[in-house]
Amino acid sequence: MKRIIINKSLLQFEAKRILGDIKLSPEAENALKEITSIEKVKKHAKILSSGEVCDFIGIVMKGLVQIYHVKDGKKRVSDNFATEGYPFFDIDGYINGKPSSVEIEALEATVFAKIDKKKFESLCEEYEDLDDLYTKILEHEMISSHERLNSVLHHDAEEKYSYLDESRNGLTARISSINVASFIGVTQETLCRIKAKMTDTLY
Amino acid sequence: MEKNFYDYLIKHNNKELSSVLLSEESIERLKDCARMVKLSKGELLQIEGEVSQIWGFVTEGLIRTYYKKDENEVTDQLAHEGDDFIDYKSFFREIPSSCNIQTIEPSVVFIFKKKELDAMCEIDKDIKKLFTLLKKKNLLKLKERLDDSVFEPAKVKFSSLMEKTPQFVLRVPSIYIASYLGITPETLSRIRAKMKIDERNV
Repeated sequence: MKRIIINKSLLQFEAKRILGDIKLSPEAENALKEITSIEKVKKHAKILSSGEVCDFIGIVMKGLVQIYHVKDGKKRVSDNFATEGYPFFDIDGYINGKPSSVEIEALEATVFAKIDKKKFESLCEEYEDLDDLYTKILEHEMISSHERLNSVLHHDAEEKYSYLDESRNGLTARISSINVASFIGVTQETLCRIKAKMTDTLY
Repeated sequence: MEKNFYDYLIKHNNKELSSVLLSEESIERLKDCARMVKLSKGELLQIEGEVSQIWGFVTEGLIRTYYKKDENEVTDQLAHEGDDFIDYKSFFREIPSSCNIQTIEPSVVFIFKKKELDAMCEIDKDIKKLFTLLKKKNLLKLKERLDDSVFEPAKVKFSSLMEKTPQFVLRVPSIYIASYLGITPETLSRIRAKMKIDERNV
């Protein structure tokens, strides 16, 4: 991973879209900038492998990241996606220091802000604004995990497709149909039928 | 049943509590903010359409949250002694809720009102820390339930429920359990019947 210099306000702008109106004081923002590295990765680069302990919070600035489980040694079961402005991390690892059971991979060439856990935690003690930012990230994770749970349990395939599209600003157009099918939990053939049916309803 | 929220924390959230040191003053503040509410069976704590104001902690009884979908009721969350319940999106983002909160048994619940909780966390950093830990705990449980649900067969989902929260299986009506697991009541009764046969054969 290569470290590049990027406009610091970009982090705040992107994070704002999902985390709400976070007003960081200039001091807190500078302190955050100090501990945040801007990482630029190529398409298909692995950001976290299973077994590693996640010690950072990532926020996508540009690009797209997938969080997924590997089932039976090969099959990808998609857990979630993060697009511009969304935070991503392995929660269990971040909170409990457990080795990750998920993999995180860039699906497009991606630029993301990487916030170091240890440094961030000590800054949260010092700056209340940053502690509030962390709380917002936790609340966002609670809301999105809860939404995803309800989609998994109670949506039919068409509703899951729409949920994926709407909750992530047209994501279905950016990822492969294999990944869409895995997220929805259907075969690619079924996905084709869903798409055809939805197009029919539109026109 | 615990008489105040601090005793409740000691009983059910000792790990979270032991990592923050609360002064006598903080403990009193916490006790004052938590309202103990006694509810009869089937009573509603929240009705859809309102902005959710409450974060609840069950000290006795059983709570469910549900919403309506295509004329059916979907049982979303279940909470028994030691569990908390939040109408996540409505509570945190302050938007009208599409969910109802109702007791399944006569219940005693500690309720925090959002405005009062926010105000308390504003003046008391140790209490704020405690609630951050309670949020983490809730999130990890939510994640675990998600991992147990994603594309697992119905039988596996029911087995993990029996293993992790047997009280739900014993005390919650089957129709709610089926909905909570995202399976049909028919599938659930088939799984239960099959399990009984398997038990007999062991």
